[in-house]
Amino acid sequence: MNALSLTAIRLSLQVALAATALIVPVGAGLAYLLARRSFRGRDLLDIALTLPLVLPPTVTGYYLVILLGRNGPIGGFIYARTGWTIMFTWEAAVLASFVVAMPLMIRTSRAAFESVERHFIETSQTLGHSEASTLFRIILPLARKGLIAGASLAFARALGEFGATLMLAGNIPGKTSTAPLAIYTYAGSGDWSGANSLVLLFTAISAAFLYVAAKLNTRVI
Amino acid sequence: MSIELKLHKRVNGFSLDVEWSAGNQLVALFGYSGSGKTMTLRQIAGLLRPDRGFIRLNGATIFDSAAGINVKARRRRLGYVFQDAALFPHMTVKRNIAHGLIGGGRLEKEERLGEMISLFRLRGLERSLPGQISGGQRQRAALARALIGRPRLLLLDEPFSALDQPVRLKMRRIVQEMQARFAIPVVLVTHSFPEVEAMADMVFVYAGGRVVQSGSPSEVRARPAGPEVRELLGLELPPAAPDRAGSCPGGGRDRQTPGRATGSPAPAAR
Repeated sequence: MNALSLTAIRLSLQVALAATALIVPVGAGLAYLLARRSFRGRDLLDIALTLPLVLPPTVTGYYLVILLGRNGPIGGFIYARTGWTIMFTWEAAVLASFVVAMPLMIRTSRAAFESVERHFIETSQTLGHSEASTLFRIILPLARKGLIAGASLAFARALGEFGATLMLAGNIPGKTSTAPLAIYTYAGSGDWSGANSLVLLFTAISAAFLYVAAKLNTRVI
Repeated sequence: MSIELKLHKRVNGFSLDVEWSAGNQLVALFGYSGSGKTMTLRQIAGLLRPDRGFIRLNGATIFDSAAGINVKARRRRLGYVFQDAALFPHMTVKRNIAHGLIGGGRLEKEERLGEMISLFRLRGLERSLPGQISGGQRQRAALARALIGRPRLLLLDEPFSALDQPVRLKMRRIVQEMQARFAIPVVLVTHSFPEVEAMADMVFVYAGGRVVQSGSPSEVRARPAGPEVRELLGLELPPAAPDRAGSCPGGGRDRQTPGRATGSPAPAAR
């Protein structure tokens, strides 16, 4: 296994972990809002947050480039003030994974929040507990299986992210070339031994992750 | 302690219009399901907002549509016990009861918890999870949780209907004892008139979102106000539907089939 492959694996894990660390609080928070509040535009928000699940990742990536590129409304604003752009950085890979994988967290944890029986929440209210206290003592503990499942799915999706990453972060060896992108490079350049070893390692890591996730899931009943 | 209310609420074509008051006694809301009993309870607790009306506890207004007063459920200081007890499944019995205590010193909390656990005969079950104890024990724990914070009123939504008869009889006695001990009004929703007669000082008979009769259970039993109440008490059969059962061709066959049950030793003999 050459140094480039190892770097690609390390980068993949780093990007997926960082994306998941952002996805868990943001995704669970949005899921809670969608599950427990009714407000104008809730259905629209739900659709917007779910779209990356069904759109081709290249399309999601394209939107991100439009928004965050040096000439985009958000990217342009940041570039004009700091001279920094997220394009072709490892943070861009994190952002791409964040957007593409978050719907899995939102959908799974929303279902978990909605399955918490209304009587439990109402009892806690009548006993004098605030919404925050009820959230942390009753709702989160009862929804934890769904939250863990959502986080695992999001991490797995982030680890395998390809299309949006390619659009936003490019494929720069040692910098933004995560394992899926490195495999594409190896295969494209006919380096089959490089591709083989990276594919095997990546498969092993994914299988190990699934094993740990399943163990974790049975432990928290 | 006393409660006084006047409620008007429309939900999906059903309309509730009730007005009643009660003192420091055990009050039963009696009637068919869907007559607005639980809806009344939820509005008293602040879990459902009335369209119009008021609710006063001990003279203090906790809801008044005209004055724009609507005290939040968590600030009303009421105990609410659901039919299913609604014990938090991830907490032990002790932690469930402790959830009804907010603030206060650690020592004081422990003392009060111990008191309630003895009072409701839950010693030895402190560390059990709700899934590991019986239905009657669950309801006792739910009562302890509802009462530990010294509520001003206790609301019971058919708390015994899922229990076996002997357990139900014991629970009735416990609730009566608690009503006397805590000296607060208790509002009990039930569709069993024997339960009303065994427990309540006062009954409000609900039908179609209205109170059709009120008084002591014996008064209601002695002088039911009209056929609706007589029917609810089981003194009169509901208006008969066009009777076709007698001419039903399946009737004769059905009556013969129990022969199979009485002949149960036969398979063993073979």
